[in-house]
Amino acid sequence: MVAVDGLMYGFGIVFLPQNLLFCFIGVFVGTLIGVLPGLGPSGALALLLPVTFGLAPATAIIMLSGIYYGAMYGGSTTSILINIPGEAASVITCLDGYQMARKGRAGPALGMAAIASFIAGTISLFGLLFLAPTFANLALEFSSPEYVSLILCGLILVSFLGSGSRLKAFMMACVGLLLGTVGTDPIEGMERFSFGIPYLMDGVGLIPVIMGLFGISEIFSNLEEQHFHGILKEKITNLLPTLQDWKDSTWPIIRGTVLGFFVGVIPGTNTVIASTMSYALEKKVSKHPEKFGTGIIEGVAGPEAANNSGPSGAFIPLLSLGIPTNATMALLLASLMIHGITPGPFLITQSPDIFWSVIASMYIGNVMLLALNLPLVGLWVQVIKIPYAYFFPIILVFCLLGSYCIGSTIFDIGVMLVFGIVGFLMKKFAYESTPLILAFILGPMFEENFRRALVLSFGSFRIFFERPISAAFLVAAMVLLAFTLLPTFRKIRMGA
Amino acid sequence: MKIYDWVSGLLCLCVGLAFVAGGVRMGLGPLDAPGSGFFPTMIGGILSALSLALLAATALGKMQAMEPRPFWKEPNSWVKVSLVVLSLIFYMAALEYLGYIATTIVFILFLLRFVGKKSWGISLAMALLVSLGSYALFKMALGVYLPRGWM
Repeated sequence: MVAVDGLMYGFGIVFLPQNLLFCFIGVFVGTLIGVLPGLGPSGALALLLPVTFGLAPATAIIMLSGIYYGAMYGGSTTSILINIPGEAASVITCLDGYQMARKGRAGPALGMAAIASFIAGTISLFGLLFLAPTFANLALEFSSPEYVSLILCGLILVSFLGSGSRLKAFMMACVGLLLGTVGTDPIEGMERFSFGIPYLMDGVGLIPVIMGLFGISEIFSNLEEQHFHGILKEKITNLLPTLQDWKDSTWPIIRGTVLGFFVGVIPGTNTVIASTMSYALEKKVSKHPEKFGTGIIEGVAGPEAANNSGPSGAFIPLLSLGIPTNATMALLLASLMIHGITPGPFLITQSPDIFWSVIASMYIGNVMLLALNLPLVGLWVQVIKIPYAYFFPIILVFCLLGSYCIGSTIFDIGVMLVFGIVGFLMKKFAYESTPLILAFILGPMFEENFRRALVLSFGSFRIFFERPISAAFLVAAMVLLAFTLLPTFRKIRMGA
Repeated sequence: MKIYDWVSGLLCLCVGLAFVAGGVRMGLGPLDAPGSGFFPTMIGGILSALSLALLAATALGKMQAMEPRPFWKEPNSWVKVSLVVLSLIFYMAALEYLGYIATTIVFILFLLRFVGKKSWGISLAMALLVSLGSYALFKMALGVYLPRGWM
């Protein structure tokens, strides 16, 4: 079994003392940031990216995965205890988790969230373990037209699934693509939109843009209002769920895991969608749907499982195709590229240490999360009580360090500041930043493959429809577009 | 708030048209060998069209109405945001002259004292702690380059 051998190899790497240490640091700091309101997994990763620059590639990616998992979990803790989601995916956990806490059952809610996350994380890793090599083999068949159609499908999906206006989301995707064209043309070597500034010849830096859009703009928004947390007064006792809780939660966890995993594989989706779908599903299959929202454990277990199996699913397109499906995965991609590793179909064969150690580290990370979170809940509650005024200067310093350290140039700090202001305005004007970021990251790949495909087909767009895999992605994209546009057309006809 | 959609729609239209103009100048190339300007022109065109659609929808009142709210969440919250922007500009200007440690101390001291409204003592203690702590972590433990300035 290739998978078993590979996994053993991966464990061999993860159990090196420095890797275990950085995995622990990642999970710990990730949880800490996840607990703080306002900064989710993307922010946590962006902030801690500079810490990994001096590390070996495998160690760096192990730590970053740990941060990701930790931040996801930390977000659930605040949802349950103070009804404030530490990150977007935990919004759903607030619904029943906080109600459980108000009934004095915060302990079992936290315990079940941790256990559901652990089970989902572990089971979904098997999916990743077996599906990623299959995907990588499939991806060997991919050439330019397939990449174009897949990226297009992902960009349409991310705009389609956003929470605000879809028109605005598509506009932001275009802005992201345009931003990606700044710098040297990948095919002809011509300088584009760089205005003779040497810095811009390599394009606008990804990390400063992300730091600006996700870090700085978030700080601006948070500073605008005084934070007030309704802190839970009761002491948290007895984290272990009862036997009845277990009975109620088993199937929701399993359903949530499977659902979250497959949603995660689809480009453009994120864990909010997975956890929302899981909650809706549980409500639908439940014998007592009216009790959802009053503090029942199924409402915590299912979405938490979905929320934590999603990342495993999302690792498949990242590691096997080199395509990030959401902003967090894009950051992981960026950090891999900083270490000179380009994810794609050849990753498993060319850098097996990266591939297998990521997977092995997730198992270890899940165990550490369980071990860390249940005993340390008290500590996290204390962290929530620290006023925001103490945190934001530290977060700013980390943003500054992160932007500056990559190229040691002040220009990157300037880019970060500009995009911080842009991100702040986007929030005010109700635009989402995720389509912009994803398009910005995928843009150069999209353009290069688009132009290559046209060269291959002697200028005919039919090439995108004649190849089966490419056609399938395009059909999916068009069905989505039709869904977006149909209500508009209907309204226009009704109005006429 | 209609005005937000007008402003942002016009801004995006300008961005789109600028990329179209720039792209055309670079050369579109034939379809079977697209040139450097091909992609920016195409996407810039799509952005311009979408922006026009947004403007049209706003003019016709078809955009989903955002709840009317003032730009700033609290009347004087612009002060805090402006102070942070100014401090970041100071950081950019000072970093390579004063060096990492000194710039960071001033930066955090200012933010905690004047934006966070903490006492001088606490602000100074935090500033020293964060500056020296992060220097030790990044420069000494992780070997990341940080400017020393005049020190």
